[in-house]
Amino acid sequence: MGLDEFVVQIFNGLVIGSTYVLLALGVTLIYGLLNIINFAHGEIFMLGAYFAFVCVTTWQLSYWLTAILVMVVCGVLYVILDFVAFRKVRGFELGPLITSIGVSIFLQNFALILFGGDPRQLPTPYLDEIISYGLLSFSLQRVLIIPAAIITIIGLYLMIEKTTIGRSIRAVSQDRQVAALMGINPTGVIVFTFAIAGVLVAIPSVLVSPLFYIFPLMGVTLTLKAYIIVVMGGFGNILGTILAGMILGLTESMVAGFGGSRWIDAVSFGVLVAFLIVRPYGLIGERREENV
Amino acid sequence: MTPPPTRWRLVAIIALFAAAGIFGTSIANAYVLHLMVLTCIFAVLVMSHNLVTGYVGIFHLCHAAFFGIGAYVSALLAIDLHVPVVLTFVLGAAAAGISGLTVGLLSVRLGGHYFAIVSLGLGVIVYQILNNWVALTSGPIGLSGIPLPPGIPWFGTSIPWTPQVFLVAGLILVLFTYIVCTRIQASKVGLIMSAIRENELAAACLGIRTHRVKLAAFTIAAFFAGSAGGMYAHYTRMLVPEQFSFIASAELVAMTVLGGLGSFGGSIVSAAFFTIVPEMLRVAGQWRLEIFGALLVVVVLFFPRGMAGLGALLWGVARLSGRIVAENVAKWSASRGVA
Amino acid sequence: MALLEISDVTKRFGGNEVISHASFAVQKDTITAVLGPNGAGKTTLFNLITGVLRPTSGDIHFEGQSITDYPVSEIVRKGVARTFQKLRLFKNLTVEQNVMLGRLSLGTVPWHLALMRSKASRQEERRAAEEAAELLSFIGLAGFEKSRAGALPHGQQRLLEIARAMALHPSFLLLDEPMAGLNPEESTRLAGSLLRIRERGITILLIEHHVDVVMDIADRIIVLDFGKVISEGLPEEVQADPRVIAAYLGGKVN
Repeated sequence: MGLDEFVVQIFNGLVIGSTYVLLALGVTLIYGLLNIINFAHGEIFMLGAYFAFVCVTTWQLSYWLTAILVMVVCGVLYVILDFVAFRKVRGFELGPLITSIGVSIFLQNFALILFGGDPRQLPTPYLDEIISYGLLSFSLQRVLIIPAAIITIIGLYLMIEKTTIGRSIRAVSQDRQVAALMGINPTGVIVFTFAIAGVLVAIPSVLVSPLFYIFPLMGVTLTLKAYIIVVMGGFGNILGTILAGMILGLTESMVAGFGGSRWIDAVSFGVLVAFLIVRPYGLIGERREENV
Repeated sequence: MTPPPTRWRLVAIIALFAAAGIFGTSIANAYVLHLMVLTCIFAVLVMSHNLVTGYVGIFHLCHAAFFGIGAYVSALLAIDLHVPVVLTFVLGAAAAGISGLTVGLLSVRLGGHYFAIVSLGLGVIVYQILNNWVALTSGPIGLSGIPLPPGIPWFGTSIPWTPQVFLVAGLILVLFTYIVCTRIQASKVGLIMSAIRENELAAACLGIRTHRVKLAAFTIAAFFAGSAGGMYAHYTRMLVPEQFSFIASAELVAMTVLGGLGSFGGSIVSAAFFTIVPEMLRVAGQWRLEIFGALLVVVVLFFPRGMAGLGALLWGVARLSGRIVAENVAKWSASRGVA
Repeated sequence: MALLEISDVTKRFGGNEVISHASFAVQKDTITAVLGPNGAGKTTLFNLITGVLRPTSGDIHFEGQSITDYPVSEIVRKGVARTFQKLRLFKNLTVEQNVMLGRLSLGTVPWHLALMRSKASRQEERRAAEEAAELLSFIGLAGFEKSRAGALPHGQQRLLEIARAMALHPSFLLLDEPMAGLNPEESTRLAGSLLRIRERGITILLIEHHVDVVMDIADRIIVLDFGKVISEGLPEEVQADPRVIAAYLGGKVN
């Protein structure tokens, strides 16, 4: 692989990595707060992408207006998801997992019935704008996700560390009862966190889906990848998630670069399994012993 | 440990299966027969899944992979190496059992959520191998030309494997699986597994070697799933990787939960329900998975014991109504002066 | 030779030293009580002894053998049984089943014979049920065999955990706050049971906050504070120890 190709693959890796990081951050936030695994995460992404498609093609809205609407819609969808599927079963460890599987199956087929199985393409003004740098050229659409991810991560960091609501999230993550005693309303915090997760999913949904086709099952692999990253980075650990997301993105891009695109998923999961055998508690996590 | 099934109950169950067999083989409608065979195969799958998820309490998402390994190993050994089908069936199940052991080893090191995802990952890896190693498995096009098992020697002639014969074999397999599972339930083995499910640390503090129990459960369950796979391969004679994807595993979870975690009779009913009903609603075929998904959510939220719970509920209702009727009849007879 | 020997054991969680250079011994056929304010590390000590946690440094010896690196189930099989501060019953199993598990988990009848319901396995189950009945009656829960464990009132659930631990025929029994949630009459009865358990040849190590009851029945007392052993000896000695009085403000040390 020549140097040019190598740089392209690095760049691709960053694009993929940024996408994954944003996907995984939503998942990690929810897990850190509620210990819930949500297998329908990718389906929110998918619905966001379809909604964007409808906005742009049917309603002829501008791309950026669409982006904002998708963020709102995804946030709302996520909160609804919590009400419908998670509220009642938060007590059982695996209850939300199972219901989220049900929701995921439901939503996939809902989309299938509503939109049919043919893949759709989301047209954007940036797809055709090509950026050239030396001998490399790629569409501007690809680039957008990287600054978006950076801005989002910084924004998220600022929110969690510096704002009241961020402090509340951290408090409720650590101990819900104590937080309630201190006057924090856990329900409000939970709703807010789910909404944020929706927004986090919406960003790659709008920015990245134009690069590929939109189809009902697109969310499935994304959920899996998000959870690979969360596991590697350590459940609930934001820095680890970012690190793991980028690593996975770069790995996948390298594998693709060497001609093994068909095997990307297998390699990703292989990395995960190998990783877990060696370091079950994530890149940064420590061995968590339970003091009973 | 439920009260040990009496001899009579065992006889009754065998009789029930025998009746089903006789009834089934006399059915001329090929389609109905086909559904019954499929039900048997899925019943074994769901029961084996229930053993690990419902009984020991290890939630895993790779059961369809065990099914697939059993199916493909048996098929490929028969096609490529011309190994006799009876042997390939056993080897396929054994291969699945070994994968179960491997997954079990991982489950021991990792808990709950971590393991759920890892199992998912392993299922995906298996699916990817089946789908991408085209030279071996023919990939997404599917593996066809899987041979039927050789004819059964019977007093000079040889019985070919018609769907009726498959039905009988399927029923025997279901019966065997059911007996093993309920025997486990009724013995100290089942009690130990329940203890692990209820509180793993407390179980360990009672001297239970939880790791070994989990490994054993996984291996047995995977073995049964693999045997179902082998039967599936030689019955449908065509395999497509799609059938063994993680979506299939998720559907299995749905079927197990809906049948009632820990209830093996419920698993059989659930398998029948989910094989037969969607086919009957073939017009609404698109909606099958919709209903699946919605049902799964509803059941977990409102009927945590699934069909077993629903069955128990209905049974309770039936008994109660029976009693009310009996009381009223007694009152009526008394008021009429009938002794 | 002491039954249990803790030698310079330290346990660190992150930067936090939860147990600090603890050393003591427990002699056979005694009732030893571990006292100390909340957060002193008493339950952590139990977790270290039973193998739930590994010491950061130091050694633990049971019957002369080092058990520092043994897994939980193997330590139990050496004859160590315990109850938990936050109850860990098998809530959806019956009272009887909970206790029988103690016997059956160590049972020698191999699984395949159990599945085939061989004569030996049926005998094993029958004996486990008989022993369970005997233990339940000993602890004061006779008649509750078929009740669902989770349905029992809290105090009786604690008694059930003790019965379950005893079903293991341990030589060493660790009880973590067995009297929590018991009224004074029940506490006195349990204290009497503990003395009878000691007479059966079982050594007891006990965490308890009902200090007055403990002072009556304990042969030796160990006092922990902030993870350190600050006093050890006969009840009268420990009671008079000024360090203990200072540390244990709020306790009913009379």
